Amino acid sequence: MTKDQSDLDIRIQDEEDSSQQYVWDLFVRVFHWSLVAAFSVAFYYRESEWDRLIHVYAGYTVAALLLSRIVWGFMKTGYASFRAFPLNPIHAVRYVWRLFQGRSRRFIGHNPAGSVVIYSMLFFGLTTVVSGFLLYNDGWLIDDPGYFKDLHYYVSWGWLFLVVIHILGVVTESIVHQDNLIKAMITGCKRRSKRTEKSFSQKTPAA
Amino acid sequence: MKKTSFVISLFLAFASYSAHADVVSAQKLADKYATFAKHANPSSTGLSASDGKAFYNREITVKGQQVACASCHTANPADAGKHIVTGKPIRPLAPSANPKRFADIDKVEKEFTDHCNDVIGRDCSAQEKGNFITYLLSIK
Repeated sequence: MTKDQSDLDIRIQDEEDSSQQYVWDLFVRVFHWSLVAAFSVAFYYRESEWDRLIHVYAGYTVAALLLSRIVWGFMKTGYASFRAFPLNPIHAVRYVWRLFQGRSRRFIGHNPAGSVVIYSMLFFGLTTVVSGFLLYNDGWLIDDPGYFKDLHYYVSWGWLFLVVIHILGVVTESIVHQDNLIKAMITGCKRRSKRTEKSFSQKTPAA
Repeated sequence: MKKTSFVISLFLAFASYSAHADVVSAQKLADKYATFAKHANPSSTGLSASDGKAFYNREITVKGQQVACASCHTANPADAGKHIVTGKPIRPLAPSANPKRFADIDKVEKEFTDHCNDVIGRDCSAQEKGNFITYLLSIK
């Protein structure tokens, strides 16, 4: 058993335990709110040619944030590690199904449905910054700026749509499982889980 | 039968291609704006390349700078331009130098709205848009 596993392999005996548990590390929290800020700046300054430089610098900031988050995800960073929230659409559908039945289980890290949204946002975010870069530095790959303009337009609105889904999920989760997930992304702490949480180094999901 | 449909589809392919990439589509757009302009103002006497040229070069003070269309797109719309804020190159505006310009009315409308708001602080009229395209079409 590795040190990381023992750190994550939390088994709480007391069903009534309401103590706090550190979930989101400082990097993840700073990343999250910086991304919110950079995305908002880029979105607000999207239209006018006068604001083009602000838009572009905000976009480059987004690119740097996304890349560092991906590096962080490949490291053994506990709940922030990609291994802690595998992409599994079947589990996601099952989770949403159970959510509607009122018997979804509370996750400490990302739940399976949230994970799908997170990976989609990473993909759309990367596509947005790459298409934006190619659009700004006209004619790098394909000699057709109209193509990148359309791509950048639709992908970034798609990304905003995913952000809306993400927020709806956060609000739903907070109500259903009586968490304050927004506060958790500020302080990093969540109510301790009453059951075994799947850690990134376990091969089989907890039953 | 098979041959006929092949010929028709080939013809359609060429027809749709030509609708997207030559000065004909720009002229069609200008005609459309002329109709709108006439509708908005019955005394309109059609589109004018010289009015379009004056509009293109007219300087307006925005954010303490004297700017015109020509500031970014240069005095000759057939030349490559340079963005005054970012310094990035801009492809030529005149359809004779860049056939991809003024091919799709949705894109043209969006660009006009954004650029007109950026420079003159309001959307341009159909007359102004029509004159503008007519001027660009006059550049060979």
